[in-house]
Amino acid sequence: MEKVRGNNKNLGVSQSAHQEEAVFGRLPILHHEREYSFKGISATGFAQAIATWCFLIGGYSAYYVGAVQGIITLIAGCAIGVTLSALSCALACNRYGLEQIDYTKACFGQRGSQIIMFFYVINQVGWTGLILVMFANAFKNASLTLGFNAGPYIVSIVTFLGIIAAYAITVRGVRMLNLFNLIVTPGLVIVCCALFYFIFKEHGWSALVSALPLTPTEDKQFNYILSFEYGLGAGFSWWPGIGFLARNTDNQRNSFYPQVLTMGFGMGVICLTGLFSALLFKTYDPTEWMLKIGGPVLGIAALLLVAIANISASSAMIYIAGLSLRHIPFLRSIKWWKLLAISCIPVMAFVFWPDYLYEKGNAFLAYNATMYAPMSGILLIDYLLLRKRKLNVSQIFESSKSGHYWFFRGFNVFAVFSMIAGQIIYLLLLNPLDPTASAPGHNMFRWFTASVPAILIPMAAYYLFARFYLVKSGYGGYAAETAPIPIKSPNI
Amino acid sequence: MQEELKRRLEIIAGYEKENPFGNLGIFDWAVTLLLFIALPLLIVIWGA
Repeated sequence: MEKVRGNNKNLGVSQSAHQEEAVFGRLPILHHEREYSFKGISATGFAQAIATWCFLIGGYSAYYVGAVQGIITLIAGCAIGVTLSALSCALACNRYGLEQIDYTKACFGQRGSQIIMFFYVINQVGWTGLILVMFANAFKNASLTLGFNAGPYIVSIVTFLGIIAAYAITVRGVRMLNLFNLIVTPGLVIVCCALFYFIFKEHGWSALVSALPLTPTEDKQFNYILSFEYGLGAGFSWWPGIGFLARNTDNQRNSFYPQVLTMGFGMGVICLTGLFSALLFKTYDPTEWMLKIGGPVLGIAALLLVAIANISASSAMIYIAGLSLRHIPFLRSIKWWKLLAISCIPVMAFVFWPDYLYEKGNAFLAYNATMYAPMSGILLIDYLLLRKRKLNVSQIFESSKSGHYWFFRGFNVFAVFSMIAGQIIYLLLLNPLDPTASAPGHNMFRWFTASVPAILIPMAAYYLFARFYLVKSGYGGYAAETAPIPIKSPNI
Repeated sequence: MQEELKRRLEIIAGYEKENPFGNLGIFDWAVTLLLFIALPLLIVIWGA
């Protein structure tokens, strides 16, 4: 951010405004405007990876596996999930400076990309709601520790206040968010280090290894694969965030490696704080185990930091959701504060059913894998193999029927159907709402997970459809030149 | 906005020749496939 602002001093007002629009809007970002080198993107990636949802993810795994299996499955799952997500979008978004939903137009079509946008917004809304309920629970448990019972509706009330606070911060702009992150990231690093220190000092490795999972099923292999699936789901959850960072990075390697290292391996390690604490204190909820680990003083201090971190992260996600809504034609010209208010409306569900939705956070993890695993596979094969890493960027912004990425009535039906098939495969293998309920493909899940078939099968199906029909019949601009073509009907 | 988009598209078209972002080479793909996908998968299989 600082680099862009610094550059603005040397630009005219209009040019500066365009640069701002490129970074925070849909104009492609040029090479000299990129903010992040290796160091910058690693710091930003780590700041995101260390977010408080890691505590929840580790806690969900603790339901089914112990410490050793949890370490393996969470780190491996996060790493593989982020690697596949990053391969599917980071390279293209980086090369062309494209906003992520715009990039998906080349594969799913001008209108088909709005389906992706819908998943994208749900992802942002879901995480926002979950961490705002965590924020409210932090308030409730801290006040209980201080001997003050605020009544049964306190979680709903504080969640609502959290939405208002996040909205107010977002309306004031991204720079306000950066100010928050200056406090939050170092604070969370300290909390995580302190958590590892207290866990190993007070309890030791032997206590951790012998701690039993909270509610495992009798099938040990199923428990293990389910925890791996949660790791994969956590990794795929980053799909919406990866393109935003990659388009702002100076080269292909920096758009990829730091994200895998921070959001993949780094997040996996941070999730272990949630796993270990949940195993030792028999609750997945960080707002409960933090008080048990740190006692009233340190516990409340940690919860306060978690509360600030959650408001900050919620603001960032509302911001991203608002930006993505700009892709809907009738929302394109609406005022920014109204657009952000629209983004907040679905989060209100968490005000009415906070406990139920909070407890179903593991279903949301699986949901992310359901949505993003097939999509990642299709985008990956489309960009790397079928398009050979070449897009006609001008056609991304062309919404006339003659545009390369118009396909059939604005939809690439083969990509959309392959993605839906992948999602159906996932649901046949694992019921996200109740993972322990026997899904039709239960036995297959025990061996292959749900994400792996849900990424490989749509990938192969789409490759065959595209290779033998779309490319040959000239749909999708697969063999077309990449030189800019005058735009007849711009979509920006 | 349209003029600015046009200007940017022309600059980006020049990137095809200049390639200021570089490419992931064989080494990168080997690292990605082996270290980031195959090795974690093998460890998961071993851990089972």
